[in-house]
Amino acid sequence: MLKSDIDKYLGQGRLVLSIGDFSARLKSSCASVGVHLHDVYRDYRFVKFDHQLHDQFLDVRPPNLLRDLMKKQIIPDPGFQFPAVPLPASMGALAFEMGLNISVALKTYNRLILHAGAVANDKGGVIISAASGGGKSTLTALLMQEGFRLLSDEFGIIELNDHTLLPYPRPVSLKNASIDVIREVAGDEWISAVIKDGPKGDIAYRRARSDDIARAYETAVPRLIIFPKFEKGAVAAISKVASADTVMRLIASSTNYQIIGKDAFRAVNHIAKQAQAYEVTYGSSADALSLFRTIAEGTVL
Amino acid sequence: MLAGPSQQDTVWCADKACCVIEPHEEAWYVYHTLSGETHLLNFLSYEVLKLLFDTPLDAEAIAEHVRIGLDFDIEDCPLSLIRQTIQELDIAGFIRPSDKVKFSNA
Amino acid sequence: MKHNWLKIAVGLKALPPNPQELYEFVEYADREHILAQVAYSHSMHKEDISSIKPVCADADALVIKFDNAWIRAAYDQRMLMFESDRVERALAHYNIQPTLLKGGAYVIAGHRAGQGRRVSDLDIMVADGELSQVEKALIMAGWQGDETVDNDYDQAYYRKWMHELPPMRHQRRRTLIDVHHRLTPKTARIELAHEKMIEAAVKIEGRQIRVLAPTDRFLHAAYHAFYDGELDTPARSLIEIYYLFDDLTQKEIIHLLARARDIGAEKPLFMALQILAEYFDHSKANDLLKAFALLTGVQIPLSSKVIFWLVKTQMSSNAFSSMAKLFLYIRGHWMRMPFFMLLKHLSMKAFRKPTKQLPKNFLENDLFG
Repeated sequence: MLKSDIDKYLGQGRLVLSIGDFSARLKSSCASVGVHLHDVYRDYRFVKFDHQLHDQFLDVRPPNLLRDLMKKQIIPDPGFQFPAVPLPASMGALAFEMGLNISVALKTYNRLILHAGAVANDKGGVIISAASGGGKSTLTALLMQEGFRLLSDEFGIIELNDHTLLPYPRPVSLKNASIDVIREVAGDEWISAVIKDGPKGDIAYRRARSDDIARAYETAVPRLIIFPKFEKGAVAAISKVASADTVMRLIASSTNYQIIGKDAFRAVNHIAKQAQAYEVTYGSSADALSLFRTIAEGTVL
Repeated sequence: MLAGPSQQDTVWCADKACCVIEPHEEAWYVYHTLSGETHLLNFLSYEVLKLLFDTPLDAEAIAEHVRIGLDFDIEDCPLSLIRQTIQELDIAGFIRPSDKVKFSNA
Repeated sequence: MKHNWLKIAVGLKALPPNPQELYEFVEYADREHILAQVAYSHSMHKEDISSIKPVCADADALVIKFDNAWIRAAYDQRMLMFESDRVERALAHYNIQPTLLKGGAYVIAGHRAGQGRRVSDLDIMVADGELSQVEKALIMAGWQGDETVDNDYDQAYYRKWMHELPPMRHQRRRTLIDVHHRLTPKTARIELAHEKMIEAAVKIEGRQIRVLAPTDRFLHAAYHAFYDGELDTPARSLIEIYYLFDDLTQKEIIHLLARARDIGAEKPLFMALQILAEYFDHSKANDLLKAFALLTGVQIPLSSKVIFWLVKTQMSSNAFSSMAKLFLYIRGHWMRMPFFMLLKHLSMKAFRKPTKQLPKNFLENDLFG
């Protein structure tokens, strides 16, 4: 789609972004959102909204008119009540990514959603499950350089019928020091402009590659689960995680486990038994990567 | 907290059809279809639950069966431990007093 | 909303073949929390909602929408079934059989009105004399006064004037229960004869729980929708009234007016019949309305015309609807309490913070892109 059409339809709320099996209807009057789409989403498929049913909706808009007049601010509005913190209007990219994440996390019930990074190669998938700041996005981006395709840096999406990982390749969000770490290995042309002084510091996006996007329909069997744990100055260490413990951690990381119920229970148990799980403690990305290589050598990957 | 009133000699029962069981090393995950909750059971609570799937029993009878089944003596598995396990399973909704209880307006 | 959308919602009409209208209808049903009910009424096999009748090029996407809605509603229903089980457990040995009301009753009785219905809390009714024992038993079993009403004003207000205890929340499961001992507040201008309704309640097979008899269930739903200030999700309330009415037997229909008089629900009945005629074109409702007009001594209540207008205004989403909504809320309370108390209550409510919140840990599990 032409840039000018993207801008036009975005303003009218008639822009639909398709990523693999998901589609989102988008609306925004905020210029920085358009810039984000032109740059980081340049290889994605956009179509004009023509009343086709979609999975997500997102409007990035001013919180209210009065506040907009006083101070240029925006919030992501996923179409249902959600307490969003207003951001400066220049941070359209952040509001957009956050809003779309919220919508996926809270409106999807027909698949199990794990808050995790996910990559895959021809032998199977890797789930990278960590709390915020644990380094899942960084490790996801690093593994993209190791011959893995990107499934998602934010969501491990599990099909409930066959327990495979469904790709949802959106741009990988990088924070602070990891921006330059990934810039170094991926190359400058793959990294977006840096948003300075966001709520969690600096943020930039590592674009998904055309191949990641094109193969968004190819599911992967989860073979390996990594629980990365970043500790400054930590001695690198790997420990195997027992299946019962893995189940517990996966449940804790899910946004919709309780709502789905029995099918989600079967899925996490199956995955925990079928895949090998490791906790990886590291103090630098070089550590993380070499530990991962050690694990990968010892497993099916 | 209790799930509800019971007596020392309450006979307990459990419905196997409400439980989806996934065994792991030395632990069992049980999904309770009625509550939609996932519970992690240790060998003792799992043994008690399994017993009650088959036959309704009171606490003393449960204790006896458990001691035989797991080869425990009375110090390893005192009645108080069994009562506590019963209470936990009752709160989770896995077990309930069997229907043959007398009503009291206490 | 389009006038025939409620008919589509209950399966009296096919889903819109036109993509634009289908889209708008699905958005509406989602907003009104009735999408899973729509899924149910348009499924060929009721157990498998993936088997909808193909309607348009977007049938696959529609199945996904239905699937999501159905899973979400199933979660609510599971919660409700378990909560009713827990109440039964808490009351074991007391020989008290509480009567489930509203959504809980439809779900547990397996009624059509319960299929795919979203429910948020459990409503039970017990006799006046059983109330303190039930409250004690529930507290023993882990329920306690909810934080949102745990202040002197609300506690006193509920206990003095309302038809239910202040809502209680379970400490471990975080679920809510409303324990009623009447169906209408002590101050209400329309009073339902709750003793007679409890007396006619039906025991659920194999359970220590009862539900209102079909006729009473319908009349209570009508009262609740139009006279209880609860028309927040009007589509859901009207669908419920349709199903409950449509499932009445011929014999129950014949005795409907007499029963409504007997329990003081004539006005709600009249309102419900008007709605059933207007939005569902229900022939039996039309017949009953005609019969009413012929009967001498039955006055069409003037106030019902006002409510009817308000409901219609709210159903069509125009500029008046939010005003009508406020008016319905005030009116619902007006029906229930004297004027000065109403003012005091509304001003107290206005000064307190809204209580709808996401779970505390939600924002910690941040989803920054």
